[in-house]
Amino acid sequence: MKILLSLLLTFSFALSAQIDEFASEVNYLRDYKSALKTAKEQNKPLMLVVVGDYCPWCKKFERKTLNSSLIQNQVKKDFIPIIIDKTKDKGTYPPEFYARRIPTVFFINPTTQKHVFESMGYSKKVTFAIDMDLALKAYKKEIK
Amino acid sequence: MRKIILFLLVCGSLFSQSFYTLDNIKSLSLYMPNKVGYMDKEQKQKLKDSVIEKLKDAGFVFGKTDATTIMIKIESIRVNDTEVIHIQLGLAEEVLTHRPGNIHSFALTYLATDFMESDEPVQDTIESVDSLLSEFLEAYKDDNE
Repeated sequence: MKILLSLLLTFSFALSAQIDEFASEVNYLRDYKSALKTAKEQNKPLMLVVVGDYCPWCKKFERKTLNSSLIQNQVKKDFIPIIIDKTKDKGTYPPEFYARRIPTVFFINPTTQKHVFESMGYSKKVTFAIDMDLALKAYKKEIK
Repeated sequence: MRKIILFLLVCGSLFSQSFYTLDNIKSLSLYMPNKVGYMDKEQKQKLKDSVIEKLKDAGFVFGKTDATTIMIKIESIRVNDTEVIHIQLGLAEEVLTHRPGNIHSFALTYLATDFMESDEPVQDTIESVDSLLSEFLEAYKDDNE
């Protein structure tokens, strides 16, 4: 039974997409509805990262920016992060976040489901950290 | 002032050097196929030496086993009186892919190309190689800062 279970686990891991592996590595959610629920419960803005498996800038953004400890700490403290594939996950998230260019990060007020800040294109970690600060300020201003 | 700094930072990130990831490349070996007819043996060797010198100045080490290969391929076709030149600068190395079964593959992990018509092919080739090399070194610096 143990062998069968470990075989199943190995098989399912082999089949999981790179976006799922990345999400589990950095603790990002993959389901919009549950992310929205968590964001409302914790009174934090939703950080929706839109990427594509064919997009080299997205891969670099994941590897070098989102995966850095600077960004991971800030995300953990202030946001509910979710990562979605622009095309593969279509239909599971609101159409207003079908980004025209990827990578794009939408910072969303979970109550209104409107974005308060948008960061478009590849950003280095320092630049993205500034974007996150601005997004948080915009969110706090809106909920005042 | 803050807005200007932010604008510059955003512009800098939008025009980041390359989508390739060039972290932690320390040792290189140069592969430079150059069979163009308009350069003599001495000019080819001089170009190769200048490439190695620039890479060494940037901190790369040569002569180690299993080093990442840096390829500079120079090709040309003569059309009437004009030389049409194609230059590629790439990195190639053994990588572990995400395919099932831990498949390793020899892969290009950086590639930049230049394509031009030239009436002064020797000078233009030297300048093009120099420009591609500078672009690579900027991208390397950008990723490793």
